Amino acid sequence: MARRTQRKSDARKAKQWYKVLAPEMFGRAPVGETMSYDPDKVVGRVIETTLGDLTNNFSKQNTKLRFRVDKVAGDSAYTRFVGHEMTTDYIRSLVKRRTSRIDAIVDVTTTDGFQVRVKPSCFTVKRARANQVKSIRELSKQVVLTKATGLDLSQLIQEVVLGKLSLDIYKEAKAVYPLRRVEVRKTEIVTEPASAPAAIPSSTVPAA
Amino acid sequence: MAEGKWGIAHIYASFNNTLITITDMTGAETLAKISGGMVVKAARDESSPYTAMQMAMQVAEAVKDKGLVGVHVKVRAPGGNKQRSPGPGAQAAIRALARAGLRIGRIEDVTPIPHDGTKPAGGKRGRRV
Repeated sequence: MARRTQRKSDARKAKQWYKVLAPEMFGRAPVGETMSYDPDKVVGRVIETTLGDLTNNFSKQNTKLRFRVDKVAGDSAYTRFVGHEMTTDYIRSLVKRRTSRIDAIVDVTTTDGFQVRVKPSCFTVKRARANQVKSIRELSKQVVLTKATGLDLSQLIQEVVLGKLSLDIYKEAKAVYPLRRVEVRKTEIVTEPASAPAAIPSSTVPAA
Repeated sequence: MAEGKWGIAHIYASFNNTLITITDMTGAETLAKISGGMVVKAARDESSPYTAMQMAMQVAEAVKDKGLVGVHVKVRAPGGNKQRSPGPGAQAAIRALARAGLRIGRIEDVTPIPHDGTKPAGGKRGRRV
């Protein structure tokens, strides 16, 4: 017992803090620190931050971004984007009685070869009929598909995160039934292109 | 974000116990952890708010030694097919962390909610006591 505690404290001393930096599309802003005694062990860790923290914009606190470390140089760890999600509290605050919530799930491939799963949600003003729900879902799928095929990953992420994509869906789908709100609830990167630069662990993202 | 090192306080509060684990921002490195049983002797006190307060004070000290200035909080209830709302220790723990001099960032509920799962215990007519 005593020996084990001894060893632990030694390891702790040798551990070093690494600064985790956001991907290039978010301006390489520092998002936090992580501790390890071996830089290789930092690779693959996932850090979560909100868009509000990155941009100093309080209205964007509901968007969580997930970055995975893929390269460590010196004491800074470089990350790549692995997905975003709205906080559960926020989504729950949008769901109301006697209205419809229309979820869609779309798989798109960006021009640079990333396969991304985009999950938009539409919230109607009053309860919609089943055929309206269906056509809104189809429309939002189409909008995402047509929009995303011409963009690369960082452009797509910008569109999603800044709410431009949801605005486009809103414009299209409000002709079918009055909408209260459209949000892109979640994105996740399904597969990365094989040619993706630098050391990423080959086992792809566990879909979280 | 504010300067200084931040961490994440994972607080799991059930009706039988409270667990506090403070990690770095990635959640991969544990900096300090504590449970109700490490503070009190009686099993029935493990989940009480007072215990949670003492626990939070202890972890806060440990974590401040390692150089954290604040924590983001992730509160969790048992979830799944059990309770969705955190137990009595959660609030007390967050308060005590703040009182102990740690800054509190985002507070988020991370209770696991099933999209559909197994039948909760208690049978068709509920728990009859």
